[in-house]
Amino acid sequence: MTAQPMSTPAVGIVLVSHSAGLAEGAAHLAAQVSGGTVTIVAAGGTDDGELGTSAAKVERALSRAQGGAGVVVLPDLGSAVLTVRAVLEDYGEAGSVLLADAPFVEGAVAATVIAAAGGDIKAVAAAAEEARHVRKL
Amino acid sequence: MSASCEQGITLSGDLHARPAGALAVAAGRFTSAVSVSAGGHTADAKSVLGVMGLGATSGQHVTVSAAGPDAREAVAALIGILSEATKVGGLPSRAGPGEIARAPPFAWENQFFIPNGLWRVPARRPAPSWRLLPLRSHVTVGLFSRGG
Repeated sequence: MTAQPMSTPAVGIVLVSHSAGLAEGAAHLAAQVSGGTVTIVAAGGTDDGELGTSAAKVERALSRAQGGAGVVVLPDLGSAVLTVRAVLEDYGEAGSVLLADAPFVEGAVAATVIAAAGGDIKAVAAAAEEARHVRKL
Repeated sequence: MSASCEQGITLSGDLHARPAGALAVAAGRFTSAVSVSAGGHTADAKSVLGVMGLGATSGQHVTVSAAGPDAREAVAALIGILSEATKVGGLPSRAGPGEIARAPPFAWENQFFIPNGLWRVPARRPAPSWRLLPLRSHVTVGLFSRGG
């Protein structure tokens, strides 16, 4: 990873889940493990609060998470990927957003820790994806 | 100039998620390669999941090793974190207002362990009483009211 002075903005994280509670819980956990210095935005559930994903929520989350260093997005299940991709097609700064293929909770924690340490957007996305290979037992 | 450095410490508490996070965040700020060893296993100190996977517990001896231009500083910093962060109550919630979107500050007093060590979050409403359900009743639970 590329170390950066801590004065530069950290990479932002967007957690896209079918469940608002799951997205917010994962954001809470990742924030606590990483020390609370990274912007993590939860985009969970549909616009009317049901299980599902919302393009509008994802779009707002991307804007809130963008601090200048880019945003890494973690989807929970397959159709969240479709929603994120649909948003990115029309998103003005799509080049500054990376969609990570990673386990949701572990990826969120690993990505946020690397972002807190000053990692760049590629290092943060890589940390999320590497989470797939880390055994917990 | 490259150097290597190593130091050990006996943990005064378990290496749970937040101490592991603090360790990995600190390790990630150094150029040197840094590793943590415990119980015959070694993890990249910059990988929070790897550090948590060590499952290091109170009383266990942990070794921090680093190789690179800032190896000495890295080991000193991580030993300091292991010394402080694994103390009971040694790592207060550091999430400040406005830093985390939609993530309220973590409150340890609202969490408690159940005997098998799994986390349990207090229910926001009273748990349903199963005694209210008649025996052999047919209960259908709709998990998903609409598609994803």
